[in-house]
Parts: sequence; structure tokens; C-alpha cells
Amino acid sequence: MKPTFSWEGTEPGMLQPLPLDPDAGRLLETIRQDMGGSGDLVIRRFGDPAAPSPPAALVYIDGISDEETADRYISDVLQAAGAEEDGLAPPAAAVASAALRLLGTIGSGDPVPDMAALYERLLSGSAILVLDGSELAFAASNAKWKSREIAESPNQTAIRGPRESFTETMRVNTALLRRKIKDPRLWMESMQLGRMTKTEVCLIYIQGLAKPSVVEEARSRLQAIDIDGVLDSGYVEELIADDRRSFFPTIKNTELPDSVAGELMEGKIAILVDGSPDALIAPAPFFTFMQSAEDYYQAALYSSLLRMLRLLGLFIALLLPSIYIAITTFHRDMLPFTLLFSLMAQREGVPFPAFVEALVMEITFEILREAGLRMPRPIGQAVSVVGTLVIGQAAVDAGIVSAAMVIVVSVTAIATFTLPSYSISIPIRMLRFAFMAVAASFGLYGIILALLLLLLHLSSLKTFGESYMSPIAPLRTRGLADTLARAPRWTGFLQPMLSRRAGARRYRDRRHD
Amino acid sequence: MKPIGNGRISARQFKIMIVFSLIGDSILILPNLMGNISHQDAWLSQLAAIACGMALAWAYAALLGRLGRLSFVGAWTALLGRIAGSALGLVYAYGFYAMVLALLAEISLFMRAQMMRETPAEAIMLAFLIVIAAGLRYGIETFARTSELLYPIFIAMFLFLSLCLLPQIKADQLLPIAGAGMPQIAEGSFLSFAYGFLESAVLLMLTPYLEDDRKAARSAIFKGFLTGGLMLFLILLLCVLVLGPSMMELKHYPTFQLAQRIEIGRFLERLEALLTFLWIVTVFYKALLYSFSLQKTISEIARLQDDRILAMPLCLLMLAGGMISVPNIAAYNELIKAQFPYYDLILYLGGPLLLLLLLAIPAARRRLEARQPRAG
Amino acid sequence: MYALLTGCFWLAAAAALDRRELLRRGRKKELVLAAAIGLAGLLLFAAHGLHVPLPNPLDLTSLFRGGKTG
Repeated sequence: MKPTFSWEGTEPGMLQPLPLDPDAGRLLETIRQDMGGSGDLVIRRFGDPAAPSPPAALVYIDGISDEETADRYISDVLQAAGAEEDGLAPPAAAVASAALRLLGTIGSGDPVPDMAALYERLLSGSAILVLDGSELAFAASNAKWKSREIAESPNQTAIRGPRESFTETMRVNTALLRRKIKDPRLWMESMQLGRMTKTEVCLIYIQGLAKPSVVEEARSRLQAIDIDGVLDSGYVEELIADDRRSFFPTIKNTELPDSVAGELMEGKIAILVDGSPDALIAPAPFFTFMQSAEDYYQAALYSSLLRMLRLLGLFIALLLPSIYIAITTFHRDMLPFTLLFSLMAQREGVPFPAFVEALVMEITFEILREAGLRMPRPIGQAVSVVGTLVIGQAAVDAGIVSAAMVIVVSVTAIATFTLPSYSISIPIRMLRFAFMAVAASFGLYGIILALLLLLLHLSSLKTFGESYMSPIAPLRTRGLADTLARAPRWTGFLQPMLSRRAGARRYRDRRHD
Repeated sequence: MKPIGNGRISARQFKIMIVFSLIGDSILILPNLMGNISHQDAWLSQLAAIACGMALAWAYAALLGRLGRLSFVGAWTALLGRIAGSALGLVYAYGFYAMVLALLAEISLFMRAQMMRETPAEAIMLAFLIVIAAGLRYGIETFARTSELLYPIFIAMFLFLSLCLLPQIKADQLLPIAGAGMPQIAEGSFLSFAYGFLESAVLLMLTPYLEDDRKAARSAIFKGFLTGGLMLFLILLLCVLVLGPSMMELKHYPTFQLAQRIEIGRFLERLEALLTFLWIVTVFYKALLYSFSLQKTISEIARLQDDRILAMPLCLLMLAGGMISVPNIAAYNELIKAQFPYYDLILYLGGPLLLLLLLAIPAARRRLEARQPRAG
Repeated sequence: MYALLTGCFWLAAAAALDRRELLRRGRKKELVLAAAIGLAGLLLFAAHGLHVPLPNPLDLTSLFRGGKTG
């Protein structure tokens, strides 16, 4: 006979709230069958193992539930029910009442009314107490999960500032934030996303500091998500972004709790997703991607210079190859004579037009970069050494590309690395190719027009109702102090600009009061 | 009454767009035209033009206050009725269209003369119109914001270029001051007045999109006119001081020559790329505002609810018109010297002043009040 | 020929980009007007590409100075 499952007829991820079978034996069998006899399902019966229906039984999933606590609980129950040394089974009624009474030693016992709720608790690590003759089961939170150690972020390194970074476990991550901001106004709204993964997602903001409209917008966008599974915050980011067709990020992600805490105190919102070490931060105007948390720990003047350096890096990363192509193809007369001569001397014997040369080099570089990323670290380094040094040198020696082009491509690549956020470097890298193509056909004229197009696009974007290019367009003079430069803290300029509420001041100068 | 479009522009954005459209193509063609007429006194002409421009700013600002949420063409329609208003609207639509064609012609002439000798005019216009179409499709709120983004870069580059020219100045080229004679100076200032200030009249088509603070908008006109006028003045002065009147007359694009003259310490030279950027930005905004006004005028005549879908077809029409009308440089100079001043005077001085006079009549003002679109 | 292709491509892009707005209900006037302007542009551009002599639209500006040309 084909077994019948209690989830039969529902879509994956959906369960019907079927009533529980009062007969414990049959209920346990249903659970076993529903889960296909999976090896990590543990059913521990109290009393006579041969009896068809035990008076009580504890069900949990091995590995996500704490086995030690369960063991102690079972022996406690048996002792309290008066299990004798002689091997006689204790009376059923005594076992059941002791089991219910002592459930509190595991965790608070919540009644479970139906099959859907039972599975939800069971699969998130609770131990389920099944009682014979009862239409209610009881669940005690007993989840235990080995989480990764809080370690230094491998992707966002800092010279100065806290090293710790988020892990894959939601509770650890929220704890990291709580330890930094000890204020009851730090609110964390939890919700579940993903029909099958039932991932916990946490919307975090400081009540009274975050703009209510932004919080409301984020909440409604999160609630509108209907998806089978959420495995990383990337899923959420993609689904709640403002303009889903733009490839510019309108939500920032970071692994650093200090960065999140800083943004929260500026009145932004953060979203944590269980299982993902990347927190999402919104609203994220363009210039936040040009800032790193470290800017606020280093000296103000130095940080300001760094920010301008990054803007220069952005400009180079986006435009240098295309400007080189435009000038060598169309506007040779714009170069000073000596420079023109040395460039042309190098290009002599190069069989390709500058555009093809640049394209080949850029694509080669992207390949090397991708190969280096996916390899184990020692091999990855070898790949980049072979790629950059050996191939580059050989290509120049063989006369396939000019040395100037190698310099241009390398400078461009290094400039890309000055961008503190990986997510902003992605559109820049992609647009670089578009700009090169435009430069090859229209020269500087094309580059300028393409820049206008890009700026038009950027100013059309919104991030959670704020314009993407703020505070420059629309202009907010006070916001500028923390955009192009990093104002010293004592000037009082570092205020929550974007979602400011009257009266919220981050710093008061007590020394000079 | 139809609802107002969903865009809103701030007074600052309004000012910046006025500056851009005022400088527009004048930055490139005006020095040559004025050099031909008022010679070494071009800068004096420009000062006179600024004075006239401020008077014009007063007229436009007064009109802006009267228009409310109606655009210039919309106000005429409200006063004259549907048929006469539409006829006048068509005249203005043609005016805006002609202006875009002239700008397209100028771009293709300049690019092919100075930078991209082998690129067909078609491709140059097409590339330009793609960006115009994108701007129209994104809508006024977006391109107003873009102007705000460009403005600091624009000002910084402009000042940088001007500073770089300081070592090249030869003060004796100014002499004799006012030697060209009063009639010449006046004629030159009229040209500047027409190409710079009058052609900024397109701002009157933006009234439906202005934020509610009318006082700020009115002062934005004054500020914009003054800023733009002074920047043109600086360019003309530098042209005279660095190039001298004879070069101004000889070269079609003296400003471009100016940028090529820059030479500081044998490494900072040939900055014409920066100048090209400035010029493309201003011409782009002028063309964009005129295309936008064309689109707006058509949609007001036909009472459309959504005018953005006209963007792409209109740009094709401009491409076709641009290709048909593209003249050679001599014909173009003749066109802008002989015909455009009249065009400017009638459409952008006559039209607004007439409307202002009409609105001095209380009955006309009441009629306009009654036809205001409801706030949306 | 070349002009015709460019024009067709342009109109196709217009149709693809504004598909939803063009076909929205109750916006017939917009659709007709957009199509008319687009077709006029296409025809003019194609005619120019085929070297059909066409009047210069800028010549009309001479009307503003009372009919005297150049």
C-alpha cells in the first residue's frame, strides 16, 4: 500500500493545519512517514518500548536540537515518575504528568495545536513532547547550532577599527548589534521569508531616528516577498531594490557590525537575514558606496583626502581606457608632442586598433580576476602573478599589445580596487566596456554623451524614496560635509542627514561649553 | 482640467537650467559673431547685453508670477480660446523645433570641423538625440536633478579654464576701448541679448513644474541671468585679451582656440577636451529644454495625459529635420546672423511682452485664474 | 536605405520601450499622435536618405522677418 503523507496535496513549503492524532503511536508513525524515515529524526518513547502507544514521547531532530538537554530531561522524567531499579515500567499517567511538568527544564513549553505548527517547531530545532490521548503536543525550544566563530572579515579589511564581523547565525549577529547600541529604541522586527526555508529576516532600526516612511516602505516590501527559499541576503536585496532593472546597487551590504551600527545611528535601516553574514543597509545613496566605516575612525583630514582619492579612482576605473582609446584613435592632436611620439612609437607594430587591444587586455584581466577569486587562495595568488606579470610582459615583448596599454589596463584595475564597496565596482566594471565601445566609435564626444546618459540614469534612481545622488542632487549643503569630505566630529556636521528628525544631535561639544 | 505632471523642480534647479540654456551654444559661437561686429569691444557689448538681460529677467519674472501653474503656451490658450491658442501653440512648436534643428546643425558642424572629421553628421546627431530622448523619457524631475549634479563640475571646470588662461593675457588688445563705435557695440550687444537671454525664454514653459515658492523662482531667473551673463562676459573678455579681435573674427570657434592656447609648465596644455565637455553640457541642456518644450506644447495642444511617449517619435522627427536642414558653415552663419535675431525677437520678446500687457487687464487675469489646473 | 533602417530601428526601440504606456486603455489620442509623429519622422528621414529634394524646415524662420530671405 502506498503510504499517505499528511502533507499530501500541498505545495512544497506549505502544510495544512491537520489536527493531531490523539493516539501517540499513530501520531509518531505519521511523523516518521511524513519525513520519509529520515535518519536524523529521533523519537524517544517513555515507558515500555514494546507497547504500541507510549504514554509520552519526545521527538526532535538530531543535530539542530540539543541532545544533552534531551537526555537529561528524559532521565529526570523517568526518575520523577518513579522508575524502579527492577525494570518495572512506571505507570503511564505518572510518566505523562512528569513529562509535562518537567518540560520547562528544556525550554518554555508551548502547546502545538496541529501538524503544520508541529513541523515548523520540530524543524527549527524544538523538542516536541507528544502525549497519548491528547490533541495537543508541546514544543520546547531546544535549538542548538554550532555557529562559526566571530572572526575578522576576510572581505572588508580595516587598518583601524573593530575587526569582528557578522556570522551566519542571526542571534549572534543581533547580539553583536545589541552590544554596540544599548538603547531600547533599537528595534528589531522579525519575520519569516521563504516558503520552504522559513528564513528569519530581521528589520532593524532605531525608533525615532529612522524616517517612519522608510521603515514602512521597507516593511511592506519585505512582506510582499513570496518566494520558495531565501539562502542569502542577496535574495532579499534583489527583491526589495527600488529599480530592479538598474545595475547600480541601491542597497548597501556590509559584514561589519560597527558599520551597521553607525548607519543605524544615522537613521538608516538594516536588514539581517539568517544564514547570511551580510547585512543590508538602506537607503543607500550613491556616495555611501564610496565610504568605508574606517573613514570615521581615522583622522578627519586623512579620511577626507581618501574620499577624494576614491572619487578619482572611480573616475579612472570608469573612464581611463575609453579616454585612451578616444585620444589615440581620434584626437591625437590633443596630446603634447613628446607624449604623442612615445605613444605612437610603442603602438608601432601593434597589429590591432587601440579598441581591440584594450578590449583584449580588459577581458583577459577580468578572466584572471575571476580565476583568481574562485581558486583556493594560494593558487589564486599564483594565477594573478602568472597573469599579470608573465602574460603582460610576454604580450608586450611579442608586440601584440603596447606597453602603454598594459599600463592603462593595470592602473584601471588598481583604481577599481580603491572602491570600498564591491557592489559599486560591479556596474563600474561593466560600464567600462560600454564606454570603450562608445569611445571607439565617437571619441570624446561619445564619452561625454555617455557620461550625460549615465548621470541622467543615476539621477533617475531612488533608494527607498530618497534620491540616489543626494546630497548633491538635490543639494543639501550640510550633507556635503560627510559626502565628499569627512567632517571632523567636533564640528557637529556628522548628523543623521538623510532621515533626520528634529533635535537629534550626535555630538555636543562639552569641552568648550 | 487635466492634472499636472508629476515632476517638480526646485528654484535652484530652475536657476541652473537657466544658466545652462543661457550659455548654451553662445559660449562657442558668440565670440566669433561679436568679434565680427564689435571687435575688441565685445566685452562692452556683453555688459550692455547683461543690463538689457536684467530688464528682460524682470519681464519674465513678472510673467512667471502671473502664469501660475500654466505654461506660456497654456496661458495663451486659456486667453485666446482653443483654436487661436492652438494655432499660436503650433507657431511656438515650430519655433522650438527650429531651435533644436539649429543646435543639431551646430553640433554636427562643430564636431566635424574640430574633432571627428570622418564621422558622418547623421551619426553625430543620432548619438546626441539618443541622450536627448533618454532625458525626455526620464522626465523633467530627473534631468533637473542631473543639472544640479553637473553644475559644480561645470563651474569648477569653467573657473579652472579661465585661471589657466591668465598667463596668456595681453592687456593691450583691449585698446582702444570703445574704439569700435557706439553703433557697433550696440549691434553686438543685441546679438548677445538675442542668443543668450532671449533664447532662455524656454524657462516660461517650465512654470507648471516649479515648486510652490514663486518668490524663489523669480529670484532664480535674476540669478540665472546674471550668472550666465557674467560667464559669457568672462569668456568674451578672455577671447579679446588672449586671442585679440583679429583672431576672433578669423576663427569660427574662438573659444575652442582659447582652450587650445592653454599652456602651463609644459604639461598642462591643450585643454580643449574640458571645453568640449562644457559646451556639450550647455548645448545639451538647451536642446533638451527646447525638445521638452516642444513635447509639452504638442501635448498641451492635443490635451494629452501622458506626454513622455512622444519623446522617441519626436526625436526621430528631429533627426530627420536635422539631416534635411544641415547647412554648411557659411550658410549656418548667415542663418543665425540674418534670421535668428528676428525669430528670437518675435517669439521670445514679443510674445511674452504681449502676454504681460494683456495680463495687465484685470479681466484677462481673472480668466487666467479661472483656467488654472487643479493642484495635483 | 541606411536611413530607413535607422528610422525603423528607432521606432522599434520606441515601441519596445513604451509598449505599456502606448497601449494603456483610454490613451488612444497619445498612441495616434505618437504614431503620426514617428511615421512622419521616418518618412522624412527615408526620403532624405533617398535624396528626394525636400524643403528646408529652417527656411521657415525667414517668415519672422517678414518674408525677406537671407
